[in-house]
Amino acid sequence: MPQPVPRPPARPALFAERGCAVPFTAPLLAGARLRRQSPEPAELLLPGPGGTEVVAWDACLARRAPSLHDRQLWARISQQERPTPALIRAAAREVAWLGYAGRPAQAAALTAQRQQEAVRDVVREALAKAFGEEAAAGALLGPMVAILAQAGVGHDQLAQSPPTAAIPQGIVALQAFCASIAAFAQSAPGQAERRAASIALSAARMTLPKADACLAALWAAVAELPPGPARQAPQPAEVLPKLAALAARAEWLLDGWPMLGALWASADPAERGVLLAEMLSMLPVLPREAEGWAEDPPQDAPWDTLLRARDAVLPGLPEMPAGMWMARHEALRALVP
Amino acid sequence: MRLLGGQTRRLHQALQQGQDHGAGRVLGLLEGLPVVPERPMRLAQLLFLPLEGAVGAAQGLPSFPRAAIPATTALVARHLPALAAEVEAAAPWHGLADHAVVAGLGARLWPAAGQALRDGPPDGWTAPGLTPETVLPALKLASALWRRAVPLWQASLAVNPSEAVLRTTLASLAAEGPAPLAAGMAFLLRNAARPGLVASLATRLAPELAAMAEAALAARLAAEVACLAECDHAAAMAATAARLAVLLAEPEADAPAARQALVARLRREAAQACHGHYATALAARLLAPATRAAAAPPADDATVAMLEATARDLCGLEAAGRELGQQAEFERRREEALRRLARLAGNPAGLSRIELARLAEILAGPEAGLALLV
Repeated sequence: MPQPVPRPPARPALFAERGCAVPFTAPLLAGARLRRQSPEPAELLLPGPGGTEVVAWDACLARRAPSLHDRQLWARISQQERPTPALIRAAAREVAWLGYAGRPAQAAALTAQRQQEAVRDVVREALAKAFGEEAAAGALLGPMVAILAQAGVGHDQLAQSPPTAAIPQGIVALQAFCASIAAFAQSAPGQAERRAASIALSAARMTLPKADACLAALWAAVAELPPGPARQAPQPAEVLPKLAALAARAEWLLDGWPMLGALWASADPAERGVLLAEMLSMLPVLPREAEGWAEDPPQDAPWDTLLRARDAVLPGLPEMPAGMWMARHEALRALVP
Repeated sequence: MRLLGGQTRRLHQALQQGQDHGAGRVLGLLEGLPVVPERPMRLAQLLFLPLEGAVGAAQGLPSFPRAAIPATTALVARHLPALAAEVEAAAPWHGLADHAVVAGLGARLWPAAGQALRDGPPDGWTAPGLTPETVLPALKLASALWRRAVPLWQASLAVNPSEAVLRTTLASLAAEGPAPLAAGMAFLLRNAARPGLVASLATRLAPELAAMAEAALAARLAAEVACLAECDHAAAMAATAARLAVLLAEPEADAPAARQALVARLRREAAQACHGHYATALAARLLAPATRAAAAPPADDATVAMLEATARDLCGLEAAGRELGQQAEFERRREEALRRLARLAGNPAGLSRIELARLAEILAGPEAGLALLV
């Protein structure tokens, strides 16, 4: 008989341990995160009433009724050696583009894909201008374009309304979420709702400045590269790992928030109090790894206090007919392609 | 939503304007309109909500004369002026369907009114057109019901109230006397989700209520099943069927044989009605349009959205209907539909194979969808 997998700690040490948020649409896979610690097979982490549960995919197939969309998504992501938020986003977009989450999600995936290609073009053009056409054909700019396709090349991205690259989009969405939930926390009628809202708000506020700082550092690192012809350009091995790490940090920090933001924004205002319990159960908890990534802003509460407070307000997933749940989450796929 | 007279007139004028200008004005008017509830929560309405079972009650049941409502409301307002003013101020914006507001204000109003009138009305008080012999016992009944109105109201709202909750509520009414128990029982028989259990529990407390309880229960259950005939949409029928599955739950072992037979008959009728609607809607609103869409050039987004919404509603109706009965018939219809979708998926045109698989998934679960893709 297989040994039960121990529950992971409430606050993970590493992002890889926390896993990547996976936008499954089946109700029994709500809030799933995927992690793969090679050479182990991929595992799913699912929020439950007693904490996070670690489940193998075979068990999910038998007991958690994945949708057609979920099977397709799993087929694409479970083989990834090192799953990242960007890779999962790309896979989810592909599945939505094929039509497995309905027509609105399909159209949104197509638009998002075009937007990303446009960002790539802008990035390629900007880098070619800075480093010269010769360098554009060299070993440096191709990988840089791939890295910056999720980030854009500067503050113009954040000035756009709405931004077109994924990371600035995530930051703007998280800012909007903070503003909306702060307003809710002030006007909510019940004490339990106000407390739940302030927990979600604190978690978002502790994440946002770090993501913002990582993105700013990435743009600054690109801007500081010495311009000029190819022979003076920096060597890829000197530059690319740093840029890739900064982009990845921003991605990991934001992972899971766009879906929560869309869930909150699309909810009927009258139902937001109930929604908070669900959102708290899926709260993207910042791993200890992120502590040194950016100067910590003034915090409402440190993470361990926040998690204790969260457990005290009894987070939980709502009971909803499967069809209604899937429709709601397919609608989210259209909002966060 | 109900519009006030002037608003209706302005809306009418705006609609008669030129198309663009008029549409803009209509939108502007609609955005600025307050929503007027269908049943406004005036003081009298809120006060007498827990007395629904007693106001104008059938002969034999303790009753509160309708004609005494204005004078009694004025009397309560005189005792509780601040609370009365608060309710009247909220009335234009809230209706009796705003359960949270009703519960919040009721929790303050009802017990206070019950206490204020515990010792009866002041000397010389009269209700126009009614004799003291009629109005004084009615006032005593109202006062007792108001004192117990909070748990009574909560029990009437619960989706599936427990036996303990209903027993405690009825016992607290019995402590006030036989008339409050009978009137509270009548209220719960009209409104609670488990009226059969209410009848059984009340009869255990006061066996003389048995005939009244069974008659009121039979009337309520028949009326609820009749609601199915008014549902012209699968989603509405599913919601009604889900309510009926609780209402028509297996009666307690000690329930009278006549009630056991009545519930069994009504369950059968309700299940047949649900299955009949399911079969008709499945053919006419899902399979026929899906077949048309599949045969034509690529279907537009609105058609696909309509088909998926219909499949979702039908899935809900099947789940609710099966709780009442006719499981084999539902199963047979669903399998037929899946075979039909599979045939369409064999030669996809206007709807892609994935879209047809999604319809099967929405209608019957992911395994059914998967079968169309392998």
